[in-house]
Formats: sequence, C-alpha cells, structure tokens
Amino acid sequence: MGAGPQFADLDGDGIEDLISGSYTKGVWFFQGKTQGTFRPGVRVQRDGKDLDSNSAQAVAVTDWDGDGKLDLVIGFISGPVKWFKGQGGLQFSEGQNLMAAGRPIEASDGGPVVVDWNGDGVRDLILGEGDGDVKYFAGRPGSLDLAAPVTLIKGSGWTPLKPDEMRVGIRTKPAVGDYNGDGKLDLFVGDFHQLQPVSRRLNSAEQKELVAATKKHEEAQRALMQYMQKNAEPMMRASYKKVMGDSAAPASLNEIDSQKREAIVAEYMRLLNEDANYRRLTAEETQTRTAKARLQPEPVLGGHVFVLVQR
Amino acid sequence: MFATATLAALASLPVLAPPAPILAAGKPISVQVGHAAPNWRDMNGDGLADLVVGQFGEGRIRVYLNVGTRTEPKFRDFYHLKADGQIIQLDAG
Repeated sequence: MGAGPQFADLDGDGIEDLISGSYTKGVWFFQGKTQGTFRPGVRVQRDGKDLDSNSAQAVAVTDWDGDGKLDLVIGFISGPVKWFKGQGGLQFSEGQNLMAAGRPIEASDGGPVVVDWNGDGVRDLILGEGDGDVKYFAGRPGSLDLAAPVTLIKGSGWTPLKPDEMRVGIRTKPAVGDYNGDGKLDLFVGDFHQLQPVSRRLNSAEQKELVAATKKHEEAQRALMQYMQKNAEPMMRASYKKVMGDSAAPASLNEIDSQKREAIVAEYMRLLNEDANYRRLTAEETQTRTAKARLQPEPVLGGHVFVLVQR
Repeated sequence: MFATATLAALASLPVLAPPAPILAAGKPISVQVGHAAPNWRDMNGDGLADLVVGQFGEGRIRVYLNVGTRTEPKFRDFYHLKADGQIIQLDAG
C-alpha cells in the first residue's frame, strides 16, 4: 500500500479534500483548493503522533457511527481493521476495532470501502485483503457490529501472469462508483501482481548458460540470506538502542511511534550500507541476477485496475 | 445451514459481471510496483467521473481523465496528481 486516494470534505469548507494512507507515514490530508487541486499534505495526527503506528494504512472516510461527523476506517499491513471516531475537522479519537459477528475484523493489507452496497439504507463494508480476496460485510441497522462476510472476488495468488494473462492478483483495494452511467454502483478493484514478460527462444548453448546463471544467482542469494540471518538482528538491535536507549524492544516494530521507527530503520540502513560484507554480497546478488535476466527476463511488478459492472 | 436472514441478505446483493481490466490507450492500466488503489471521481469538473489510481511506486497518484462519455468511459493517458505544483509522493517504503 503506497498511495490510496480518497475524497471527502473533511475540514467542512465545502470543497473536497484528498486523504490518503501511506506505507509507513500514517494518514495524510491535502486540503482541496478547487475541484481536483490540492494544497501540500499534512499528516493527520493525535497528540503529535500518528493515529496508529501500524504500516500500509488504507483509509476510508465515512460517517461510520452516524453521528454526522466524518470518521476514518483504516486497514493495516496486519491486525484488526480499526475506525477512528471523528470529532470534527482533523481531530479523531483513538482507534477501535471494527467488528463483524461479534469479533474484530482481522486482515492483512486491509483496504476498506464503506458504502450502502445492498441498498437497504445501512452502510456496509467492502474489504480488500492481502490474499486478493474482496469481502462484503453487511451493515446492521443501529449496530456497529457487521454481519459475517461474503466473498465478492477471489484473489488468484502471486504466481506471475503469463504474457496476456489477466486475473486479479493480491493485496486488492476496492472502490465503488457508477462506471457506466446506468445509475447502479459498480465495483472497482486494484491489485498487485507480477507479469512474466515474453522471453525470446534460447538456443541450446544459451539454455545451458541459463542453467548455470540460475545456479550462480541462487548461490549468491543464499550467501546474502545466510549473512543477513546472522547479522541483521544485531544491527537492528544496535539501531534500536541508538534511537530508543535502553527501553525494552516491543514484540513488533509497529508498536513504536512511526517517527521513531523511521529513525531506527534509517540507522539500520546506514549500518548496512557501511558494512563491507553486505555491500559485496548484495553486489554479487545484483550482478548474478542481471546476468540471469539477460537470458530470461524477470517478472515485472504491476497493479491492474478492474471494474465489475453491476448487472 | 444458512439462516433465512442470511439467504435474504445474499439475495439482495448486487450481481456483478466478471472483473474486466480497465484500459488506457487500448492497454490494461498497470501502475508501478502495484498496490493499485482506484477511485472514481470527477477531477477536472467536466461532469464526467475520472479514474484516480494510487500506486506503491514513489507513492504517486495517477489521474486518468475520462475522454469518453458517461456511459462509455475511455482513457488515454495519465498525469500525476500534484499539490501546489509538486507531484504528490506519499511514502512507499
């Protein structure tokens, strides 16, 4: 989850604003100037901290509890999807778990959309998930607890798409809108996929070369991995100590305030890049990968956008 | 077994056509480093909704203006959404 553009008049000045989550820097607000133009972003915070320190934040702006004020529903890289009660403007209360059938809704890479999908006058939740599935949770009148989900779309996994193959991949992000102007809501979904580019035919000498290049690359990958398994944790410990002092490390980096977490990661990257062995092993990995890619192009990362028209 | 209420809720669900990739200039739209996060919004005030797509690559936001009609949207190319002249880049790791 990088950018996930949402539009709503959050500051109540009559002009739509742009709101987006981000990978590690929380939720951002870009004040609308005129239709489709915006001022530079400010981070939406509470007491100088991000609303939540978890990463890959995907936001829906909606009046979740029906009190007339806009709330935020946020999905994360993992853990429960939460809602943050709006107090007007950019002020929000602490996050609460979104519930379905009496239990918190857990999702990896959760991508929420809040909309009255079945037209019964009660807002529902549509949620994209890490495995690519898109689920629908019906809202219940007068309740914050949603019904158990129904799957609208099945993700098809991380296997690279063949050239010209088309299917919904992973980490889906849904949206709704009337795509074809028939007055009915349609479902949009963005994904994350790998695409295997067309490769040229190799002659038998090149095929042998590819086998050798693949082996070399695997060896370089293994050497780098083994080095990291031994050295990454001590380096991360040292980076943590430099930023946080002697305070005990929590179970997950996500429990640390995101600005401090960024400082820890920056220090860790600095230590890594100063490490001669790391530099040598990554250079070997890159070089052997490039040699292999000359014979067999690597899959390309991309994200398609699909529309599912309502019949 | 499904409760009657569950069946009624399922029956009220919109029926959707299979996923169809949205094209720009005849090719499926694909954003950098994936994590495509779409939105459907009129961005230039011409009364037609446009396709806005967030991506992981540099945390940029693409705007594909609808150059078709209300019932047959069409897309050619995109621009990156800006804030006061600067391309918006939500951090993306």
